[in-house]
Amino acid sequence: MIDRLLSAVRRHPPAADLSARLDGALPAGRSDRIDAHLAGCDRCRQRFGELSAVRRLLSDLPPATAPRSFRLSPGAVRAPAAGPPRRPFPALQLASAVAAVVFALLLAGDLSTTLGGGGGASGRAPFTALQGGPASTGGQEKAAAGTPTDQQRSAAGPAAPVTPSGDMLLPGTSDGFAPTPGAGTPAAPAYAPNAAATAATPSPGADNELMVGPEASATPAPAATQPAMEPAAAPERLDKGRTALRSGEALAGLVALGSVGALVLRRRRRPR
Amino acid sequence: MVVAVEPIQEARLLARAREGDLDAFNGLVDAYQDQVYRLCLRLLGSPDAAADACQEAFLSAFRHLQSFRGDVFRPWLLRIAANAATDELRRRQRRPQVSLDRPPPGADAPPDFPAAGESPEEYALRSELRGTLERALATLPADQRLAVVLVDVEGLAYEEAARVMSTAVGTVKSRLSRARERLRVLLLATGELGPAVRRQVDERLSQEATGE
Repeated sequence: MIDRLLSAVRRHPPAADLSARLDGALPAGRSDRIDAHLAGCDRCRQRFGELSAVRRLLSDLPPATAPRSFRLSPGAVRAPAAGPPRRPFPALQLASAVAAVVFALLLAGDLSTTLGGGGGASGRAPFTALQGGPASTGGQEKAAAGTPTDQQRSAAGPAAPVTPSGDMLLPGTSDGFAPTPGAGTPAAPAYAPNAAATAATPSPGADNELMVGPEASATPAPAATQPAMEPAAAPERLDKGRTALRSGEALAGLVALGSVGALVLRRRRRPR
Repeated sequence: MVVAVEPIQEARLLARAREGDLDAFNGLVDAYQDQVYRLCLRLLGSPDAAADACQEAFLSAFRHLQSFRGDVFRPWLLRIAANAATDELRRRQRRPQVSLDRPPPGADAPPDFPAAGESPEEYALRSELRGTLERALATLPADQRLAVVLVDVEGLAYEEAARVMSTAVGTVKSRLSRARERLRVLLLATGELGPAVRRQVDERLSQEATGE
């Protein structure tokens, strides 16, 4: 016990402690230990004295007074602020605007092709329409998987608002593509990790279709964990087109989201 | 330190200023302009830059009065002043022809006159020291400089400094201690610290002797 105290006193206190001791900002125990150390340590006492001197010099700086009056005139107040206003980085605004436009165009293209593209995707259109903005790309991103065990599919947040009880993936649907990830989790609450299991097995018959669908909407690499999934051959060409479109949508949506987020952060960092 | 108007008076001025009463706001300007100017001066080192920043600070404060949540006016105003100083620094760095060269010691406005009983030599030394200190302050990173100017030059408590800097007290303490340590090393190298340290040691010894 005594040894521990002694060694605590023997240890040279860090600069931060000396600084706090200077301001009397240390709890009594620590303060006493530092004083005890200073009493016996020339080096630290010297250092403490120097810090004290620095503080004294700073407080002794002459109290400069304003060289003139800084009262505001009505004219000055009406005029626009001098100098560049603190604007968020303009390129960021441009990027998010462009990305939003690109995304909207791609979405429109997507919608029109699927609406005109035959029954296979008939069910899909409402989903994409409902999944506005980044949400849909997020969903598409995450729901690349086709296996029943794919957790990612359950993370198809956008599925939540549009989750009717399994209407998409009726076993009876001929192509049952469920290209939208949302369709792949008919009964899954958003983000429920075990939803993948339940969603993945609506019926044995639909399994193949399940696998096919999301694979068709092959999203950007990180989400795609099912390279082994063999998509059905027939709709492959159409799917590839859709794939590219989806990827584009996902990218544009991400960029829009990212730059909007950055804008918000920049605004928040500005002092009020 | 110039004492601001009485709190009640200040509250009245603030209330009217918030409604757009420029005269009321200018009453606050009168009360705080020395402090705001001084802060900008210590942060920027140049009287011209400080004056620009000071003007900008008050303009900005008037324009943003609606966002002042009525806590304590001073830290809110000083925060705007610190930001104005940062903006001014950036503005001047973008236009390299406008230099921020420090004026020679003693050329700082207003002039610092010899103290009563101070010999010319002592006065010259003190002016020189002031220039050295100001140059040393300029070498600090901005957040450390702000911390040490608020606490050691302006005498703010940790809590108020933390509000001005929009950060935690612990952060203020660590920035402050790093600033002081840097200044210690710098001033030690210039030999300015010697006499000051001796004085400090003497004072401390006499304090201990009288059982402080």
